Amino acid sequence: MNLKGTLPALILNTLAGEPKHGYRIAQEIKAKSKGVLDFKEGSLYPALHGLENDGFIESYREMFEGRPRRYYRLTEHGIKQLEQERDQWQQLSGAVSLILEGP
Amino acid sequence: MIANLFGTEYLVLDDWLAVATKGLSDESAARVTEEIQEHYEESVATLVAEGYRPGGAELETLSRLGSPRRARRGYRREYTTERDVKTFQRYQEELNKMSELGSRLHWREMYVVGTFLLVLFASFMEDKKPEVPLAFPVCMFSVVIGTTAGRIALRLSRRQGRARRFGMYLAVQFLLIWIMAAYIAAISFYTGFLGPFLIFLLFLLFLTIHQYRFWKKIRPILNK
Repeated sequence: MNLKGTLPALILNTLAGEPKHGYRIAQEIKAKSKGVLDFKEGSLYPALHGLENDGFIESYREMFEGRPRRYYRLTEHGIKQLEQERDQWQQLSGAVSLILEGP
Repeated sequence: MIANLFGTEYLVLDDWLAVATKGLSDESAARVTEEIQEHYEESVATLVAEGYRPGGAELETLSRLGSPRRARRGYRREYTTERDVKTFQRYQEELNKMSELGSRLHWREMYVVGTFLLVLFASFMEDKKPEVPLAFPVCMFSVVIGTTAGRIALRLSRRQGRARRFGMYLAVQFLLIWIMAAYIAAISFYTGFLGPFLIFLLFLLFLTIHQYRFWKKIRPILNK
């Protein structure tokens, strides 16, 4: 399924719990949607960088099992943005459901 | 590229990265390479643990990354390119020149000449010659006010952070360009030549989006 426009919101939601690295973010989005939301993993990093430029997430490097990894975490600004995205999605999906499931 | 016994060629990570990072600045290319390499190693290790052969895991990982050309479009939108770096250096020089009140006019400030020629052209085409002498002082007055205000703003911003100062410079540029657009709009509506104005308006919208994206990429670097 095409993720156009929704990938940043999905990334923010995936980072809500704890800091994660790029590969894990991609796998979590695919796993949580049971494979319905599939995307090319090369497109994840521009989205991450865009969110970082907007100040919604920040990144840092840390060693893991002898290998350096770049982790991403939500900022205060990002937490507020995630709440807004959730509210907007609730409204949108509710409105679409009313139309599609209506008489 | 590597080839198997039958001559079929496969993309390898270095090829993927070479295509995907083409045109990015050195700093951005290094960041993308670092991120994709980490992703690649993680993915290959996971797939091997799931039962893939090492070669198969590498090919599957590259397939999951997708087309490097498509990825490059996304990278160029979000990461600084070589062109962005050159533009930034040029703007930085211009900013320094514009901050000096006594320096000569920059080419962008010379739009009054172009606008006046347009007024002249439109007036002759529409046989409205009496308005021509009026147009020039109006254009001159606005350009003097616009550029002086811009230069004072830039001079006052010297003590502020680099990002704010550079942002102000871009804002001044936009103010001047959109004043020009307003002139051309007025002339177009006055004379009825809507076609050239609409084309120019589309160009300005494109320029605005392009500059906004440039600013979004440059701002975090200036804030460092």
